[in-house]
Amino acid sequence: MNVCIMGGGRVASELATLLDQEGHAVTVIDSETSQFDRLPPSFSGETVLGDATDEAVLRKAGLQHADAFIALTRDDERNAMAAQIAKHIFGVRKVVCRIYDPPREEFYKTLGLEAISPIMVFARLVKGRLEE
Amino acid sequence: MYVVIVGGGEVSYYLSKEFIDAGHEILVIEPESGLRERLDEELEGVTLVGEGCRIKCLDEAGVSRADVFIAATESDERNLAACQLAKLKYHVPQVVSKLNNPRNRNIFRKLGIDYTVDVADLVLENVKAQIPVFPLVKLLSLEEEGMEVVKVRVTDGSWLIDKRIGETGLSFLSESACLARTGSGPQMVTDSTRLQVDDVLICVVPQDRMEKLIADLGGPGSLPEGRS
Repeated sequence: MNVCIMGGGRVASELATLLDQEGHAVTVIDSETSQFDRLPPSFSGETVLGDATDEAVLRKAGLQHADAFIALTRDDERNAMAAQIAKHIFGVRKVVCRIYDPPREEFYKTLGLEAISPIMVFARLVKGRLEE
Repeated sequence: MYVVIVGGGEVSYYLSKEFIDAGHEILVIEPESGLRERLDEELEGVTLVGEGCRIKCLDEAGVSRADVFIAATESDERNLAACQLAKLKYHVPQVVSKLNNPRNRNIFRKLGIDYTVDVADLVLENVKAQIPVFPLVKLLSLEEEGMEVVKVRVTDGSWLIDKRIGETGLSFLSESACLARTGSGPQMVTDSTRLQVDDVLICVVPQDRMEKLIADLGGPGSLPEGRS
């Protein structure tokens, strides 16, 4: 699978590493080169420097051939914009984005995006533990 | 009308003033206290503290009863998020976004935000209008119709001077462009119109003809002698 990941933070680089180890072709996009330092030396995927809300940067990252796009920056609005460009302009089949703000996670789901709020995921997880 | 503006910069200051003078109700949403204080001081209590792309804030602003929603922050991502919420969650009938980066015009349109104001393009066209070496200035884009309204000035030394429009390869302007000539009233351009220096044409041009028009205007001799 060809996977493009927007953002080079901790979650993004963990995900990139896991997918890379499983043999997927991974491209990480971030606007700061220092973020790529989080990737292990064994990482065999690509890194692209640039703003992933820019169509030209996404094209450079090969989004037109991607099977999946995952937006994982800290910024909800940037994640939502890039995810919608991936879905509606590049026609990427699987698009997932992180939206911290729970009410907006719901809103973007109504727009057909697979939005995940880490706040809600963690809250539900802890609640589940309490109920065990 | 109830108008909600997101972002408290220069654009929203002048917009708010215009709307208030015209008797409308205005609310500006802005997180930064410096910008908010200035607006409140000069326009009296029109601001709300908050992020205009947060649902809680938009609820508090009563966006569901807004007639017009304008996103005017410095960030296109925030403008898009705010406009999509206004349009799709609160069903505001008129949603307009400021565009900071011209590359985003198409993206906004494809994502459902049809009315955008491209700041860089506006500045560029206004600057070009002041400088005589640019023979063509875009006045308005009719996006849905795929046309541009443009102003063409016939500059001194232009190869168009004294030519009949019908002979210039610009005959598509005939019967569709308006000629404004100092000293005489506005007239419709026909194939037999002969252009003079400082004639101004206002034309509605299909977007696929723009390149030809620009090439024709920029052809040999279209710039004043010695300046080309």
